[in-house]
Amino acid sequence: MASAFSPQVVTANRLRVGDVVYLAANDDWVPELTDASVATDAAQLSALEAIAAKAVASQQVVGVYAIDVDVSAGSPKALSVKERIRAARGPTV
Amino acid sequence: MYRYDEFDHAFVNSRVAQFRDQVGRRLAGDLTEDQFKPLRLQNGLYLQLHAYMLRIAVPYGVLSARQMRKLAFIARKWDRGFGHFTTRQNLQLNWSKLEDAPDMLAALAEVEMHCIQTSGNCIRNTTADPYAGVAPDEIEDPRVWAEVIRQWSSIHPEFLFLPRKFKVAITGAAEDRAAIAFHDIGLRMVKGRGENAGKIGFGVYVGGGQGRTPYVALPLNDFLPREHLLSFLEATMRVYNLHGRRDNIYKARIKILVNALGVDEFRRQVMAEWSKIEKPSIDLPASEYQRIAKYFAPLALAPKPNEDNVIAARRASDAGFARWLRNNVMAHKIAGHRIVNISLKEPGKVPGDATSEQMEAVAALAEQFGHDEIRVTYQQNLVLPTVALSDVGKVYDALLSSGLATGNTELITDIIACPGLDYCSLANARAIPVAQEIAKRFADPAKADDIGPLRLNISGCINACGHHHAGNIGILGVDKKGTEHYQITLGGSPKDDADIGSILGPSFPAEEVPDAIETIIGVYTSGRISKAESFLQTYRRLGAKPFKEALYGPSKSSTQRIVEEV
Repeated sequence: MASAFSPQVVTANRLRVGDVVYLAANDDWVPELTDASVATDAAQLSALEAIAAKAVASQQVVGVYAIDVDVSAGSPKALSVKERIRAARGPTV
Repeated sequence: MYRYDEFDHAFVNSRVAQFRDQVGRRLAGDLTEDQFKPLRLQNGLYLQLHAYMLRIAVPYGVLSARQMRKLAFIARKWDRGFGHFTTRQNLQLNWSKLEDAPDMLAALAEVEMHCIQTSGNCIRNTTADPYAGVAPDEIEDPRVWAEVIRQWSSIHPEFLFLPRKFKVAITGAAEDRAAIAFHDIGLRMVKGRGENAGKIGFGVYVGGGQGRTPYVALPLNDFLPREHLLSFLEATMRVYNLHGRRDNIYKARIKILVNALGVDEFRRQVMAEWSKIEKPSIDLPASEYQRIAKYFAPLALAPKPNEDNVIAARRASDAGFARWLRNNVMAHKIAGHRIVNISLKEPGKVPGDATSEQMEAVAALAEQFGHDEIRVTYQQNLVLPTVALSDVGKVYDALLSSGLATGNTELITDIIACPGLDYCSLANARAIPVAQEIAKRFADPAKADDIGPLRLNISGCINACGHHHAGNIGILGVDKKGTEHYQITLGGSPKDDADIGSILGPSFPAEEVPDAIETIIGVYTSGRISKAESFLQTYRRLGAKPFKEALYGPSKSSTQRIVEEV
């Protein structure tokens, strides 16, 4: 039996400046995790990753990967400490 | 200090131009990230958690005021107005932009600085005793040899693609202030005995390091005539380059090779290789040594009285000054002068961080009172190596107004901490906030003074950039089922009695770490024979048992608890 799919969003850094960004609607890359598009199944994630690959190829972003998120409160929230710190766009100190 | 010659200027400027072209091609899409990444890393540019990070080499931790001002300028113009001094005596800027990096490198080149070989599997910045050239216990100034190694190792064609990164440390003093036992190669200048009596050479140590497999370096050569340093290093590097593992990144450092072969067999192979080397083709000619040594000629300082009535009076009336004087101001080899340590460890602040304004304040002090010399220490502090005793009070006042007068050198609040998960993409846990909370817990200067000399080091992952293995108290951040936990080790030392700390027991969540440290300190202060017995001495005398029992209770051994925890 296939394991349940965890909701995920696709993140990266802007190539020119390094800022943390998330893939959102209309193929936009946005700074707020809460604005990111959430993949709720493997097909949706593949679609997001395909969009991200084009953004890599067109020198928009670098270092693309998917992260697990919690969507129980509506908008996505990072699960790992590392991704929560990244989403805050700065250190905790 | 060393000044670039025509070749140095041309080389560094050509690398800036080369990198500018590479960045241009990357932004235009002519280079993929896979193609570009090794190029940016060769110029010290990492992609970290939030942004690009530029690691700037500070050769053997030596800076002029002009260079420090330029670092402040770069941090202000292209970063966020501060920098982080590291345990390799370098400076990291955490908010750099790729599009600005060529301009940042060009600005560095203006003051004879660069970021070359601050990353990659090559010979990194050689670290050195921060008191080099001024310490009373010094046999010979190691900066000359550190510069020789810098020139030899820079774009050395054989050693740019080693199995793994390679770190060298050097000291010329009786006391090891460069942690040479925790380096791939540690060099200690020594006086020869027997047939070498009257000569100065190097004791060579190999295979030290921290990370996931920590080792204290082993003796490779008790006395290497100093004129043969480069050929011997070359032979050692060749053996490592040939036999070091390239199939497993975790087993690729020279320490693994040395301990797999055994140091005797490793030495045999080095000696065999060395015997085949045509030494004059590699060793430094005496004339070249003399040329470089001139840059490090001792200052023409007239000895002065070692007492100063104004300083003495202020020491008696100003407790803060007295504490700073006692903890941060050290003896200098010339009477009437002092070595001034500038702490970047004000409790509550980020260890090793300095703002552009603070960098400029230190530069101004170096110009006005410090003969234009600044040092960076691997403990993430700064040093003015030569200050006249009569100027020490003025330096203190200026430091006070810049928030740099914390008198805690080598005390419990002088914490080494890596950037941790707040910045670093490799980290498992945060190091900075834990360091801040511990420092605040022991912020009362009288408390820290009472505890006495103590090294407390924190790393945010097993790579150990925060030197936790070498801390008298070491703290390692680990990821435990998605939460940050901290494992405590005791008994490490980076000095002449170098040792690796032992894990005390199960890890603690962040909020419990300050209490745990306070408990450990309580065992020490109640168990020490006298205040003259340091934390490390007490630990070595008592063993781990009373510390374990105080932390975990006597009913279960920590081994049982670890098993249960797993």
